[in-house]
Amino acid sequence: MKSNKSKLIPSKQIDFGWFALRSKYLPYAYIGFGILWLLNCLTIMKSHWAGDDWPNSQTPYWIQWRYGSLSIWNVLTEALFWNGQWMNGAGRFYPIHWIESRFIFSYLQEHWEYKLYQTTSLALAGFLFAYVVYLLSKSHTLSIVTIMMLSLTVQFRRDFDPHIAFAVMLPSLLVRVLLAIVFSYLAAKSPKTLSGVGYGFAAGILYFMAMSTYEFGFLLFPTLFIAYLIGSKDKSHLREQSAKVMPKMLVIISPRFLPILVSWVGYGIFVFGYLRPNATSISGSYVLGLSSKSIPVFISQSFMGLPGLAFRSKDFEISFSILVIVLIVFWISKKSFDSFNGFLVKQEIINHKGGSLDDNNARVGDHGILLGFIALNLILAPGLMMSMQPSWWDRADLTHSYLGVMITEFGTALLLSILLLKSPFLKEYVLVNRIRSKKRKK
Amino acid sequence: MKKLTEKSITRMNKNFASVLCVLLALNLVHNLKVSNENRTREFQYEAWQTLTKSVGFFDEVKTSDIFISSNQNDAFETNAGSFYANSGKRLAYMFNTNVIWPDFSQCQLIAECQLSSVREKSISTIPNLTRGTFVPKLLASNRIDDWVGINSKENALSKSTIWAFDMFLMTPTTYFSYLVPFLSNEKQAQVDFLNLKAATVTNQFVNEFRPAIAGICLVQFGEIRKQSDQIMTIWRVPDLGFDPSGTPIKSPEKLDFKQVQAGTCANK
Repeated sequence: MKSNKSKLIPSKQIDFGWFALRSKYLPYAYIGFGILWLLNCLTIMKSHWAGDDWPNSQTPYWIQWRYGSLSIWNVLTEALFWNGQWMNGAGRFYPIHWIESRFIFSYLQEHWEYKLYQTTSLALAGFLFAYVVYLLSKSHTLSIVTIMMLSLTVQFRRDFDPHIAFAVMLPSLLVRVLLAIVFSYLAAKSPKTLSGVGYGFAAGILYFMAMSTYEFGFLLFPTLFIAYLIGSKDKSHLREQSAKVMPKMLVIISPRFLPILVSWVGYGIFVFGYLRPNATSISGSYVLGLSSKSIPVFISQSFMGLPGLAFRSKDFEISFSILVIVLIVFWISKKSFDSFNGFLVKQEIINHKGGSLDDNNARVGDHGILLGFIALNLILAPGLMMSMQPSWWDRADLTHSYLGVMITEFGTALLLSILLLKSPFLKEYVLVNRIRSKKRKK
Repeated sequence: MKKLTEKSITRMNKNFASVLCVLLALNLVHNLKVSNENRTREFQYEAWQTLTKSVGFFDEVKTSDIFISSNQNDAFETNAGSFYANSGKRLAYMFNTNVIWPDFSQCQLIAECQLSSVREKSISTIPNLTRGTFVPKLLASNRIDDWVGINSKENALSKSTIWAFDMFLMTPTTYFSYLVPFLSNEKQAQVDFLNLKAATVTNQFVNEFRPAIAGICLVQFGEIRKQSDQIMTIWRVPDLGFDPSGTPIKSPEKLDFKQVQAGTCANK
């Protein structure tokens, strides 16, 4: 990191404001780690049809064969037919996925078009996640580290892989949940009740759509609740505690939060209270239960996002092209870390000089604990679901996971980022750089 | 706890950042590797596109004909829908052999076992197809506007030809397919052997071998160069030909469907 010391902290830049900070190091760190994330997502382009995408990619041809032409109405009726079959048969309700996937496969027929859509969806989910982390923490530091961590925790799997297969179901779910989190936060933070309720409705609708994309969304309700709590806290902070602040648990009955609650409860009652009891053929993975065998499933799945867990020795056979890729990624990573260090050091200097900064001495941000709970919710929800599915008992372990693993990967990225930024080592490092820059100034 | 010095912290940071850089690179390489691994069916998929989009091979196939195929699989591209989209020929259906004769595999091993009623069984199975059935409830309940419904009407398929058709990877670089009509013999499924057409699609520069059916080497009939990296060759059954050992042999006019099995012969 010598370049940091010599290039990134010239003495004439010591006295600077927020704009200077933003204009130099921050974008570089974001762009650098953003490019790494994009490169990771772009590896999807190398894949072919996989898993359920094989039969689903045939959708437009079946529709043409069956009805004579491919029209929006035909695609929609096909999607609703299959949704109906799964509703009545297995008691599942995920029409948004059926509609979305049928339209994707019908109108993105070329293999590369579909792969580009997959790549874009995953990349969008990652960037949106980084934005949500910033929104809730007000910490660029945490947001940057999170996007960097995503490039470590998002690992393609050799069994059920949600990144390169399964009709973009998981990225799509995540995008909707993340948007719902944004609106949930805004619902609480908005100064006007009417707009707060409006945001609440938007969050409720998006959340219902997320659950109707994949049932995993049902278990992510706590993330919306926590986002709402953070919004409430930020609002009360803005009002400097002068306004009435609702007790934490009572926010749940606030008209601003009510649409989200109604979505969640409504979906639960409809699926678990009506559809499942009336389903005609629940079998296989859709049977639910609990036993002592659930425990190892739950535990193993909680660690699936850890970096390197999906690596196998055969992944790293050396070739010229691989070496080139490694060197490029290493170079981008190195440059990104340099910019990030520059950003951290400047931040410390500003704080030391009593300057004001949004990232105000808050590498993890103002709500570190609550963000930790969000991370834990994302990490644990997929394992909880699988532990309740007897078909996964004796089957799920550290090498076998299911589609929800992508949610665990996102949660793990956030948790690791929080832990890294909370580590005393990093603080010491920044202090040392500050001392050095002072010496250089003298 | 041992107090960290400026030097040691700088070194630790350098090492830590380097480890992260290496991990980031390794993770990308891993993802790339896994992405690459699921390209195993890519050649089959591309060869199917070449075969079904080719002009000529399916000329004699008419609308509402029926294909019976051992390697038909709705889970992949080898299905009636994809065939229609690529060739423009709207089959009544492409059945898997096991749907028409559930004991097909066992029957192949027994000389006396006869595969019967190919036409009757194929036509009677059409109305049972459920894929994508949807008739909007607001419309008349007796409305039949989908292909399965149309072909389920009485006598709708009376003029249809039933074809034995198959396609599979013969070697990692050669995709093989044949097409031959069934004869109207409901007691025993036989094919019109002299009218059998075969095709190979290879991603090599030349064909590595000649295909054979029922122990008779096929003769080249035409070559269609689809793309620079794929050659499609059409083959036919000779009246007088050779078996794989080079012994002259006369081709039969009819052949029991069970005997329609592919093999290879050396190139001349």
